[in-house]
Amino acid sequence: MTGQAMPIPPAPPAARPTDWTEEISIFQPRQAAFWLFAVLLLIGGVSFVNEQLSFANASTTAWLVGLVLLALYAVPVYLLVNAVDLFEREPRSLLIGALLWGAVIATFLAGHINDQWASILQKVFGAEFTRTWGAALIGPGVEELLKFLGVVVIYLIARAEFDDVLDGFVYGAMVGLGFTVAEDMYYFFAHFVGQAGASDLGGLFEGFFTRIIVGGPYSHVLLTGLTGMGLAFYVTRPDVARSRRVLVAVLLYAAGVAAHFVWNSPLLDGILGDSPGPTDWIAWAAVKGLPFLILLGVLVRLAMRREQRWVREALAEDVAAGVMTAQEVDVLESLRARRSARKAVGARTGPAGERLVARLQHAQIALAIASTGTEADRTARIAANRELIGGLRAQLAALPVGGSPAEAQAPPTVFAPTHRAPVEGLAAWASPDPAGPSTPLAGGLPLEIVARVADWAQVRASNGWTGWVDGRRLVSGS
Amino acid sequence: MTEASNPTPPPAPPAAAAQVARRVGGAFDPATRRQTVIVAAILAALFFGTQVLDEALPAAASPGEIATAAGDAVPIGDGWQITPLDGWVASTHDSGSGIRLEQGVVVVDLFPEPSNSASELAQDYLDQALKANATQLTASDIETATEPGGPAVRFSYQGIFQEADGAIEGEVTSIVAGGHGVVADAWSSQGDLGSALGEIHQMLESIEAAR
Repeated sequence: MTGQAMPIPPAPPAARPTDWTEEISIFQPRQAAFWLFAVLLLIGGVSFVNEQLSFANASTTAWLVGLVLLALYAVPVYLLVNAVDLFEREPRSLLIGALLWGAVIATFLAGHINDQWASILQKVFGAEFTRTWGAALIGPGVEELLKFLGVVVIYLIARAEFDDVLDGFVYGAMVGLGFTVAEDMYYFFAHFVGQAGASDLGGLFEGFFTRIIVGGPYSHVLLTGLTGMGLAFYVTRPDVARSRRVLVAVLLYAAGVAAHFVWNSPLLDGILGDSPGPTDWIAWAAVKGLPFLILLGVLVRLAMRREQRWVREALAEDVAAGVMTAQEVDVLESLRARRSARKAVGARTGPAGERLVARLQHAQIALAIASTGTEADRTARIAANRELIGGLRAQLAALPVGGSPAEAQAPPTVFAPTHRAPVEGLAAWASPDPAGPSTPLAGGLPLEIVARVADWAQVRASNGWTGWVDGRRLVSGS
Repeated sequence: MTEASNPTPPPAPPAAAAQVARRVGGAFDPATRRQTVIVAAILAALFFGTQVLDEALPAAASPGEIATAAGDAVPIGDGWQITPLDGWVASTHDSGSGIRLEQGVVVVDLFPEPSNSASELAQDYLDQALKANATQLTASDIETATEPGGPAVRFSYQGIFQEADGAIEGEVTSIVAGGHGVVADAWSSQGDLGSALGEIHQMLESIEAAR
């Protein structure tokens, strides 16, 4: 079925802030915020380049090794943050802009303003107080504001790209990642290699342990992720009363500042004892940072569920019309399930089938995105995606399975049970992801294994129902 | 020509600057112009405002503060003297020997010590003053430095000390001339020393024997 004959659903109401079809680059000369960003990047860039050159001159080896060590942290975090954004990936230029704000602009401004505030604190409260509490008061106060304003600037440059709370997390995390990377390189040289650059790689690895292994999970990615979600909640939820949006934004900003304060403050330093070892440092960091990391994880999960709900709504009509199955919609909701579905088909039809399923999944997401759009060509986009999905299905069906063409995605039509559910029963999921809701299967239920992915088994019942179960618990024989 | 037929003079043209501003402002999306100006104003207030506030506040008087005018040399002891840069507050050290220079969270302790070798002086300071009081300490190799006051060496360290909260980072410079030495220990909480090292090195270059 191509779906060409299907009616195009009406565009979502204007109040719904989910036009995922927008794809905006950072180059927006009509936006004053773009020029503010450009000017600050130019000014901060001079300072940034000079600082990196001074590090490289002090010890080229240490600088290069430092870059590699930072990449070991930054690349997975970048990919992880993007992976959270399951459906509507943010434009790369905006993500790079957010990284640059954190790494170049915010660090440049913070370096100057932090020094000024340290001097002010000393004059008002004295040197001892400033030495003890300066980092805890100045860092959160100044740095969180500078990074938060970076997310605001990205928003002002490309407002249409802020569709949901999750986008605030993505841009906030990117600003935080940029800040962390630049700050860590500074720390590597200032505290572990030495400003004079003794090429002390041992010091560099010590810095890597302290800054990345111990502090990495609780870095600026976490802090600005929280504050960015607050901004996004305020600007993307017109359905919520303004006073409540302000309250949520303020609370999330306060959470980011509080996390930074707790991290920088001497509170709880007693955990370290007189001679702290690696496990003491890791425990110390967990006590200080883990509660905030859990808070962020919960908020991101809630935001992801909200997006998943939108996708279900956007595709409901196509599911009802048979353009997609409900199970395929389930699979779209998790990267792992998408991969498992590709592998399952790949195992039966080879790499060509795996690639076709990947394209099919992209087309299905594009259909959901097109359905949320309000653009003039929305109807054409929806029709084109439906046609593409139909075409890909036809190609999948034509792929040979065990030497004969067959329906690549659909399970065989004749039920041939190979296993049974154990007597105590068995839980089943729509996709190989235990995070989703499960369905109990009665003990002894005859089942046919359709596909296997690691310990997961995709099974079919006599009535055509399919689901994923723990393959290790299946009992052989019908 | 009658008075009635006289043309009404056109309104005065707006000032050129206002015209330019209006043209530039008009080129931007009005939906985000005001918010962008607010962001720019906050950044400017943070950047310049804190500087103005810092300069407006008088330096805090501390016990034992040594009153100096800008450019005045301050005696360290044993004939040594240093010229603090503007913004650095000098006071006599609690130990009774030497002086302390402070700016914000950064401290430079200077102690006169009789010695014939800058390396030995630095090593003694590392062993007897730092290692003896630290619960954890990492120090770089002692390397030759160039100071006008005499032969000098330098090393950096980071550690945890019983009398200080949190991790401390520091840089020690020792200078020796004619059997007299001086140790300068510049330190702060971790993360704050790097940006002050330029000024500290500049002040250390002003150390001279005035005996």
